[in-house]
Amino acid sequence: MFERAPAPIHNSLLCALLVFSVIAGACSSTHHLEDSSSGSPPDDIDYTLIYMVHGDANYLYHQNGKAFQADDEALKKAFTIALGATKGEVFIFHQKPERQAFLFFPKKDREYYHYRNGKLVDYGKYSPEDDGFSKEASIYSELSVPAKAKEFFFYFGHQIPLNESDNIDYHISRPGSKFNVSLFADGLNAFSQKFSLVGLSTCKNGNPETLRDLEGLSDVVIASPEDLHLSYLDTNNILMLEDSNSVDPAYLAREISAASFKRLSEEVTTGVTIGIYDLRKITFKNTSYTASNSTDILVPADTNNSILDCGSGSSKGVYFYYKAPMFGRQKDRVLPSYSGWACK
Amino acid sequence: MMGIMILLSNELFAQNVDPQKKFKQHINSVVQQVQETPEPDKKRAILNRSFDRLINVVNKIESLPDVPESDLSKLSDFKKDIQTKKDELNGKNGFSKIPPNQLNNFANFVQQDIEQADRVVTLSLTTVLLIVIILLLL
Repeated sequence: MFERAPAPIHNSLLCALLVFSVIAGACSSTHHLEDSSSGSPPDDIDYTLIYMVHGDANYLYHQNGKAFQADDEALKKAFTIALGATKGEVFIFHQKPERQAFLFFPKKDREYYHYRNGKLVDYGKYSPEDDGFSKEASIYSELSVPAKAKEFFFYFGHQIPLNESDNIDYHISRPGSKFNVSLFADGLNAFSQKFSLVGLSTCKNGNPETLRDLEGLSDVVIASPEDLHLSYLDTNNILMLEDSNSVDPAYLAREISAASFKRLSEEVTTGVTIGIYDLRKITFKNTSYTASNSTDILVPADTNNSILDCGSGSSKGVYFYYKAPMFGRQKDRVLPSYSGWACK
Repeated sequence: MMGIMILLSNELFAQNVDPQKKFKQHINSVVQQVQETPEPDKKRAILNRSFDRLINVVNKIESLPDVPESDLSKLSDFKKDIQTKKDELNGKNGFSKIPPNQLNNFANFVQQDIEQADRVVTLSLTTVLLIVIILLLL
């Protein structure tokens, strides 16, 4: 007949609960915008896109005097693609700088967005669990459709450091944490055993060391062997998967690279080099920094700090788009003399 | 000089200023000055002055004690790069002089090359902070 009155709560317990709820509130939040974990199954998912946008460093750049944040711009483009992916599933991870509450508690400043069939179904905040992508991969594993379609991965950030390079504070808010090509490869493997295509919107990762570490993890990789402007690659053409998910990843890579090359060539005066590495056709030797196939022999080189072309002419399994810079020592460098490979 | 640097450094830290951002903003203001100046001679003079300031800044930091070895090597590369750009601007060391109608594009090139390569990012924050402080003082 009567609802029982709530038991009185001791003041100190109330205080503790209040403090805990403040901390917990500051630490995490997940918003299921649609019931994505139960209920009606998702419409047909023909493909899965994962966008990893690093923002925990300085990503300011200018165009015509106007300031842009590279990570925010990459995020906007990823959102547009996610809305257009009506037959796909899209995960967008924004690795923002991590703040701390009460000096100890991470505030979970990183964010993820989960789209299915062109609709945002989930959004949440999280903290990294390690120097790699363990937390992102566990979110993906928990929320993605069980039967995996073809998977594609795009990374936007500064150059992923080589394994033996100086310990660079890649994540500015986490000094001392490591990040390098091996950790990146392990991170990819935590998401999936094999991607159809991995796109690296970074500087100088079109090199033997990076690509050798990605061997077996992706059929095709897009990467620049030189510097890449912070306005990054345009991945709109990935939506060709809407028409057919059986399109060859090398063809997709060419379409994405061609569109990116066209826009970058029009907008920037520096050199533009985008390489497509078909790892199904490239065989790497075991020796560090060397790779070989029928036509190219990559040789170790460490003469100075600059990036060197360590291939020889055109290379089997490698296709690249190249425009010389408008100024500087390289301004007269012509296409046939460049292989699309780089090493230090 | 050292006292002013410490004061400025405290002030910048207190304002939570990102020194890398400040440095890129400085380069952007130079490029905007070049774009807005109609006379080619003045454009060239602005660029030369800016290159000289950057080279002087690096010289000053290199002469300071306790600058990390890894930073010294990167600062040296950075200085060489700026010197090469200055040579190209003025047609020295094998370069053809940048023609008057290409000075705006050249200024864009300098900015895009610095921002995309992010050479400054790989320096320690303390060294970038020193670059910004000395730039403000010069």
